Amino acid sequence: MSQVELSPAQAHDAENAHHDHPEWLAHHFDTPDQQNTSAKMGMWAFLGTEILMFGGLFCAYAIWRANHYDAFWIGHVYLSTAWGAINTVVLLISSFTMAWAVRAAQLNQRSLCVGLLALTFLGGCGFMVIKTIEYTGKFEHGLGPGIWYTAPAISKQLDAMAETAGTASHADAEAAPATEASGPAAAESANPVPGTSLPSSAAAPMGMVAPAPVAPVGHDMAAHSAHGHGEGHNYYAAHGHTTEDLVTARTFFSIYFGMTALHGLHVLVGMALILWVLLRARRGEFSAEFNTPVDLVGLYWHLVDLIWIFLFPLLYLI
Amino acid sequence: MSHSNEHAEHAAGHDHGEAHQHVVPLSLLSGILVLLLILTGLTVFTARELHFGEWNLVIAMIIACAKGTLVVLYFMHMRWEKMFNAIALITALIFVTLFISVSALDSFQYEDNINNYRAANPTRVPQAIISDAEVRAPELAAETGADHEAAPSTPAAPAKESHESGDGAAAPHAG
Amino acid sequence: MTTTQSSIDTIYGPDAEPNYLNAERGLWSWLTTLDHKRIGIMYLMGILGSFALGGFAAIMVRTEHLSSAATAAADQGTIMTPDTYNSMFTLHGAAMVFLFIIPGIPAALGNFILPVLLGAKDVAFPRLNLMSFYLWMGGAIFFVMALLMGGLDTGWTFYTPYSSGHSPFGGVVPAVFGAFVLGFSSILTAVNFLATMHTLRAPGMGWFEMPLFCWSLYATAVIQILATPVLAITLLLLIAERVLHVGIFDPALGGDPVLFQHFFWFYSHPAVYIMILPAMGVVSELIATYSHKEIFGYKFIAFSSLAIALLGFLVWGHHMFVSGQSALAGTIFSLITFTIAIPSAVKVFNWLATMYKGSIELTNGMLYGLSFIWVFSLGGLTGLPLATMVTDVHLHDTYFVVAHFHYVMVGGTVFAFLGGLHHWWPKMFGKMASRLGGFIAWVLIFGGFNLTFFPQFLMGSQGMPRRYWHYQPEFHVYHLISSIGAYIQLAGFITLAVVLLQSLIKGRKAAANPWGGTTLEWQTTSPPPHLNFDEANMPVAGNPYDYENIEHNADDDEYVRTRPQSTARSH
Repeated sequence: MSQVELSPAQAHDAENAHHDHPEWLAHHFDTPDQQNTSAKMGMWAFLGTEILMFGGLFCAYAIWRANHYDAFWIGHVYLSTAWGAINTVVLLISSFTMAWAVRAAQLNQRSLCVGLLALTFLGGCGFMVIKTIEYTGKFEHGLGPGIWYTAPAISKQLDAMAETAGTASHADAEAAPATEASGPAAAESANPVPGTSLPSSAAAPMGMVAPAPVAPVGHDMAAHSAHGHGEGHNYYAAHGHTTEDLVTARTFFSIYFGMTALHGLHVLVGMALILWVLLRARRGEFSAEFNTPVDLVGLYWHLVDLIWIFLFPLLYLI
Repeated sequence: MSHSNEHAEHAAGHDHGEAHQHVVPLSLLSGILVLLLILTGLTVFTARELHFGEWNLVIAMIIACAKGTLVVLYFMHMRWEKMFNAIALITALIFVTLFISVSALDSFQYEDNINNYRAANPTRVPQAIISDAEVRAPELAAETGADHEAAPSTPAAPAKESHESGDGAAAPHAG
Repeated sequence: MTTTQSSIDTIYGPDAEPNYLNAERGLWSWLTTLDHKRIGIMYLMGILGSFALGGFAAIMVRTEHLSSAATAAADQGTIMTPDTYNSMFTLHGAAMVFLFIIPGIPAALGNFILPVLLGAKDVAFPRLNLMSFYLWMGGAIFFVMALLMGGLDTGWTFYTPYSSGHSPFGGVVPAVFGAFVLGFSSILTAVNFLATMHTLRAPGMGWFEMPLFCWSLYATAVIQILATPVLAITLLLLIAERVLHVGIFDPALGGDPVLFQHFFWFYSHPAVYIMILPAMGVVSELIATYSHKEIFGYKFIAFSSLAIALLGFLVWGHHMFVSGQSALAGTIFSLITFTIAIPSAVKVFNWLATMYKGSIELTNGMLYGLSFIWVFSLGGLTGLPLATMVTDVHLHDTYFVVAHFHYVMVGGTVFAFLGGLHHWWPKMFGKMASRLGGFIAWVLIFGGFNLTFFPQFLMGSQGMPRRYWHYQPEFHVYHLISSIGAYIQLAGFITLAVVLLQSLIKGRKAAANPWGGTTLEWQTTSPPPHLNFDEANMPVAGNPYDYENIEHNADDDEYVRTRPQSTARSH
């Protein structure tokens, strides 16, 4: 390419700098296309970094799961597949409304775009509300991450209280030694709950929603015995788990909280970004010519969805 | 000169107005959503109702990858994007794979030693965990008004031979 | 507020021609600027400040080693206790690595010069650029907080289980969080540079008309994007481990401490290439400019940068030969580590071939460039015994390792940074620095550097372990020489600071092209205007290393191009 060929383009650039430069086109770009390409490129590179950041957690997950499969098996029983599935659906739908909002922005459909962004935002809210319900339930039962994982000790106390109160029924007396004798296999035959049957494992965490944070542990225990098919002598035993199983499961809740908390943080950031483009869209700042921000926020929101698509089966459907 | 020259191209093909964007038809977006929802149902169904042992994970991951691909290609417009963006995504995925596989390669190196150690020292419960939990549990019990006098501070329950990690992993699948 | 501007006015005169320094006035205009050149200058100041902080810690460490603590009373060293010593070497490492070397060349020099090299008006995302500067500041503030909260003594590598539980120092969490924030700054700069190089090249500039510094920054950006996020998650997990005891790295809770090392080095090994690649890019510019000869093997240098970036990802395990990593992994990592020598040597040979029959001019910039080649080669070659598993078992965690990475990092990156600073100083501030003063500083720095670190190879190979407050009397002579070298370096850096600051006040006005450079930054005034080039006369790129038609005008001490740049390259 020679000097002569380039000169017109160059002259055009210089001319262009002085007039016909729309307000939304930054001074250092020559054309809207150049600006849009740069922005998309930067966004995809950034999304690559997000994938690698979550990649670290997926790596931790893989290694822990391989080293402590039993922990993952015991722990996942306490997650509600129903809530997880509902959250997946909520995110998928909000991803769809987001994609539609981008389309609306491209077609200059301003009010439709605003409405769809609002729906997307609501989807994010719904996701976070469900997540809060799930988190609250976990913390109530001492199934938090790290130092908040107190389930084994609570379980032991419950056992002791049941014994001292002398309320151990004949069924309990039989079930407990069986569990002691041959581990989870026996526990499972005694109590068909873990994993295999959707209704009970889904129902139990729904039960957690019941506001019982101030109830004494004893009452808590009674409440859980009630919906634990009357077989276990406490909430954990109702899931077929001994204190020892709970000790093992600690690992699972650490990775569960690690992954979902980082994802939840991304949902919150995504919601803030959606609110920002929503306000800008209401002011009519976007048009068929310029809608890059909607597009980029959309990409971010889809990434959040994408990560959840992997988290759901890995955490809830072991 | 055959090298690409984006700057010059932009200037030459410049005609004020819209950037080259692909508008995805609404019918296509809706179709993708329906597919995604069906796949979500499928993944729950296979995980809960079908029992293929370790293959369940593989099936779940295949379905998740299919869902992810749909989201990337259509919701994220990757089908109509510039090559660079696809390269960025694929490179990121390759490096995640590299990271996980090499770290994992290393992690199981001492599995035999661990198993031998476990066989020789049949105390499966790490003391740190139970004591860590016990530090916090009385507070929690006190908060909830429980009579924690009743709680005996016995050490961790004795471990059982039958509960080696291998057995533990296999047992649930049997059920 | 107005002092900055009034001092700029005194330097350039109230009616100097408009440039980026006097385009807007007041401190506020600097703090909110979107101009990549001003952001680069702010980075430069911050980075030099961090360098001073890290340098202070280094001098403290070397002073402590002036005498063997074995002769002193227990816990009473030459000047400090063992705990203070531990926090000093940690501060030195952490400040130098996270605050100085990693952002040093890309964020300070790169920010200033990259868009000008490309013939662009700014980087692709100017607001993001400012944000990444403030993230850098935020990270630096966390580091200072860590110091105020009791410091830390984990070493810059934050190895578990020490960092995750046992270290009694209060500064661990803020320092780790600071490194996390700095990681974000690094990622955003990389994203910005990548997009800039893709979309904002001047007319006529294809990928192979980019100056080689741009190629090295491209390779660096790729590493930053792919590796830094893993550091981010590692540090978050470390904080979670320390605060919540989640158990991921703690074997007592079912975790794996070696896993931390995998996580950490997956970032931190590529990170050493984040440190050295931009330095190699600077050296390519220095060697070509001061040999006044077209760079030899352009494409080889360009692609060797990418090769180093890629291979750099596959060798992290060579830090873990004695950490309980599997023998299989160790063998693979050792093998790949050796292959890194190939692209590195390709660069060195190409630089040598560039100088062959060139008209070499020993400016201060060139002196640092030549020092780089010599010192980097020494540092690189001493890496080979460390990459060999059997010898590494002996040399691991000794002063041999310390000397090796200082030869690469200080002799490599810092020398290239200083060379680049001399090279682009006239472009940055429009003033020529004293050549004699700069030469004296170079003699002190280069001499002091070798005096400091060469004895460390010797004592390391004899078994002196690193990070020890206390040492056997037989190592005393090496430590003594090493500490004297450190003081000489300190004198050199002070001299350099004086020379550069003095040039701002008394320096001769710089011509547009004082060195005979051929890349686009020499086609604009020194310092450049706000939008880098005269808008009516935006640059057109050709062969970036066409030295054929550049002539020296002795009257103005300026180089001028007599015919337009050719677009064809001879090789």
